[in-house]
Amino acid sequence: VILSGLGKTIYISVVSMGMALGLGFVFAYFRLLPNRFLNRLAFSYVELFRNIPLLIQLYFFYRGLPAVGIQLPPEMCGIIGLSLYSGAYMTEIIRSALLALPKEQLETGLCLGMSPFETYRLILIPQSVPVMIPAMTNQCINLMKNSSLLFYITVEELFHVVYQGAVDGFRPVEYFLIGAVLYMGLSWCIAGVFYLLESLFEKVLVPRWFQWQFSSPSLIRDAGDISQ
Amino acid sequence: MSELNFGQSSREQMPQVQNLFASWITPIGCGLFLILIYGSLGIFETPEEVLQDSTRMLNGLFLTLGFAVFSALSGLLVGAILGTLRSENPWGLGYWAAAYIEFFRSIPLILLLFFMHYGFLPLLGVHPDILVSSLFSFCLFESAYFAEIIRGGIRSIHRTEREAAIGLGLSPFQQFRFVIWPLAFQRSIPALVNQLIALLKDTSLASIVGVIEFTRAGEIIYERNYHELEIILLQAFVYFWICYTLSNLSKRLEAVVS
Repeated sequence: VILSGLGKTIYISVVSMGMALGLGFVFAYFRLLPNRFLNRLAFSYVELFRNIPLLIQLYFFYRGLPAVGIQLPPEMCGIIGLSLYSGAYMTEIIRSALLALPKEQLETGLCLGMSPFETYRLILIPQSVPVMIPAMTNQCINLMKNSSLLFYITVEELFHVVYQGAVDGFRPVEYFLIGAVLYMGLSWCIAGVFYLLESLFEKVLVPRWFQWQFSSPSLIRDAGDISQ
Repeated sequence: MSELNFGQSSREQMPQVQNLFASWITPIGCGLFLILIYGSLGIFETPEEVLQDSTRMLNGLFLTLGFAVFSALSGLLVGAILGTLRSENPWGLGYWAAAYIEFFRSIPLILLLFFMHYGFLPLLGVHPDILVSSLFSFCLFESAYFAEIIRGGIRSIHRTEREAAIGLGLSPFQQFRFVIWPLAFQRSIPALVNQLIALLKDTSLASIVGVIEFTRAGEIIYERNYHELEIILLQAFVYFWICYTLSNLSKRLEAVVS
């Protein structure tokens, strides 16, 4: 029973991690654009979702929306709430990693006739990925821990199972300790995976990416040679 | 720099927006909360109910703020001690501090709240009020985070500053008392304010174990009258306002400190 809860927690965390990353990249790109509307949109998204407690956001999706006729299954509410909440943090992480890059990178890309999106995708992101990974590790661990809140909106994830066990068996200490150990194990797993990813990105993926992207005979080949 | 901006132009625009939000805080903000709570309840409730429910909401709000302040102060105290232990490692106590910090940083807060109230404290023969036990678990949980921040502050202190303190003939305790703690604290203020915001948001979790703070007060009201959406939006707005003000404060402090 506990294993099914563990599986659910992992599933929810992984799905919302992916969605949060996607949101983060999109909104960080919006923050970078000179377009005033998109800029404001990304700014308000970040500030709005960062400054409201996750529990209130979950209540909004789970209890507020049915009042106006939109009824979502609890698991989906949880995934949406978690990804929106962590997406705001991800946006800030990605944006600060991008701001740490020297400005010349961007100017070179634009001078070579690449569009802003191409510059973002081909030059800025690959370079800043190793920088943003440590902060992302923390955020993903937080996301996994926050997924325990979903127990209150009746999603049967790990904490729900542990809580049920504690209530049914009148053995709160044992069950909660098992839960604590499992959550610790999960956060160590996330930390380990991200540690591996960091070294992988730094040593293998990023250099390969530049070789692969800039190996076609074109003007931008020179940029590829410089960045190696 | 015509195609993309790296935040410069948006940073120039933002202060106006921030001032617009931040200038509302002090006296007007309090009045605004009052008007908002009374007014929005007034849309769908009779006058007697409005009075009762808004007092409930305001009590909840004060409890939330008091809860946050109290657990921040106690967490900061414990965290400062733990952070110092972890960075200095006297008599091998640093390993214990590290184990404590890693443990509390890797378990979710609700697990801790439930464990404290239903598992651990009754095991010790103590059956405290739910408010006391959740304050206790908040103190434990947040102290781990504060300890890491303080440790970062202590690590940022340069060797020469310590050597200067030793050169002045200060005893180890005096070094900390007069040189290291003030500097470390000063450098970690922005991070501490950020953690305070996270703490304030986390206090909403205490509603799950049954502390009647702001989230729970609203829940009690909408469980009776079924106006979920309005009350949740109101709560979101109030939380947003407080946290946004604090985060602006931390940005300003960051500028002042650096």
